[in-house]
Amino acid sequence: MKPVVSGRWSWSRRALSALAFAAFSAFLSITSVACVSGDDPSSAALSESGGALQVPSTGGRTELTVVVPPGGLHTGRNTIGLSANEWNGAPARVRILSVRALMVAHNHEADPPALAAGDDETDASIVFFMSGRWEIEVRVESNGAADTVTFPVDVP
Amino acid sequence: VKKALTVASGVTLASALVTAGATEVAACPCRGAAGPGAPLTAPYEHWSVQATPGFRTALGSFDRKGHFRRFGSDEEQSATEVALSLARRFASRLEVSATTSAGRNVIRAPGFDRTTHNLGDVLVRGHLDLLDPPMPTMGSFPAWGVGVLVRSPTGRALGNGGGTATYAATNASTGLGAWELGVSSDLRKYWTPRWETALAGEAAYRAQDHRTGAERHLGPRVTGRTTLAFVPSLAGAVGLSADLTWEGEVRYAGQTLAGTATRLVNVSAFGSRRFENGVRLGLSVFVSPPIRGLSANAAALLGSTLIVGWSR
Repeated sequence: MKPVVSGRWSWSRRALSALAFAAFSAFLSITSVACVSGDDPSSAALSESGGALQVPSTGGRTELTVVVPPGGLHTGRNTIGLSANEWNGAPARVRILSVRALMVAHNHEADPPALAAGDDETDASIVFFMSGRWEIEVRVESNGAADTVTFPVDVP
Repeated sequence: VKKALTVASGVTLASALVTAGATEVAACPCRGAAGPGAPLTAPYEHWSVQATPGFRTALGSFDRKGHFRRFGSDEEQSATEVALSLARRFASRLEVSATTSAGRNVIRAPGFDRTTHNLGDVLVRGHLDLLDPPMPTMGSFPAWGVGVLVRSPTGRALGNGGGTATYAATNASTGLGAWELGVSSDLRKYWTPRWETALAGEAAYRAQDHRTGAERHLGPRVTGRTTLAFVPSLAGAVGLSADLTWEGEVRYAGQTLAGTATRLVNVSAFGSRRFENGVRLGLSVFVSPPIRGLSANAAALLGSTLIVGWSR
C-alpha cells in the first residue's frame, strides 16, 4: 500500500524540523561524552588496593581511622577496621555506636554489622552485595555527644 | 544469561504462535506501531490497556571509570516484572497514560542470597501530538510530539527475604524513592514507505526524599533514544533502537557524592504488530553492550519484554 504524500512543506515547518533534529543531535552528543565526574582519589585507592585512611567526623569532634586489608574490597563479605580517635588533640572518650553501608542512589542497605558496644575500635564485617559506590555511615559518641563519620568506598 | 535467553525464546515463540493466526488491522497504525517510546494509542483510538511482562539480568557491572567486570558464577542481579498501563486519548492529539509494575528481584553475591518482591512506582504521562502529518509521513514533515511525566514514589519492597538488607532494582522500575518530574519530545519520520526513524529525548528532575534515612537528592536524569524501524506492512514493524541514559551525582546529607553519576547505553531489537480486533503484540530484546567506557556506574543488562495490549 502506497502512502499518501501530503503537500509541500512550508519553510516554517522545515525550519522547525531542522531545529528539532539539531537540538536532539546536540543532546545526544553532549550526553554521550558526559563522563562520570568527580572522584575521591584517597577512598578510591583504599577500595582498590587497601590501606588506611583518616576521616574527620561531620561534627568535628572525632577522627576515624579506616583500614581495608591488602587487596581492597570485593563483592561479598569484607572486614573494615574502624578506630575512633580524639580530634584536634582534645582528650575525648569516643565510642563507635553503629555502622551502616548504603548504596544511596539505589535505596540499598547492607545488613548492619554487629559491633561490640562501647568500643572505640572495631572490625565491621559488611557484605557488599553489589558492585558500585557505597557510603559508610559510622555513628560515634564523643564525650557524650553524638557525631557521624561518613566515607565512600567503591566496590569493584 | 541462559535464563534470559530461555525467557526470550519463550516469549518469541509465544508471540509467533499468537501472531500466526490473527488478521492484520486495516486501519493505519502509523503512530504507536514502531517500538519504544511510542504512545499507546493511535490517533483514531480512545482507550488502550497494556501488560508488559519482562525479565532482565545483569551480565556484569561498569565501575565509575567505565571498566567492565563480568559477574562470576556466584553473582546474580535479575528481575522479573510485569508493568500495567492504561491510556486514554483526548481529542485525537492528547494521550494520558498511567503505568505501574510489580516484580520479583534476585540478588546473589558471595555470602548473600536474597529474593524479594516489589511494587513499582506509578508513572503518569501526558503526550501531545504537536505536528500531525498526514499518514504515513513519507515526503512530509515529521510527526512531532511532546510529553510530561510525573512519577509518584509508590514503589516499595514487600519483603526483604529474611534479612534486614534492603534493595530495589536499578533503573527505578521497582521504586525510585523520590518524586520525578520530566518533559520529553519525540520526532518520527518515514523516509521511504517502509522505513521510519524516530528520535526521542526525556529530561527529568528528582525531588528530595528521605528514603535512605538522611536527606537525599537524586541527580537529574536525561535519556535519549534513536530508533530505526522497518515497516513491512501497516500492521507491524520490526526495528532497532539505541538509548542512552545519564543520571547526575547524588546529594546525600548535605553533600554531593562525587563519582555517583551514571551512564548506561542499551541497544534493543523489537517487533510489534496490531490486529483488527485491537490487540497489539510486541517483543523487545535489549542488552547493554559490555564495552569498556560505553557505560559507567551501572549494571550491564540483558533482557526481554513482551507487550500485550488492546486498544479501541
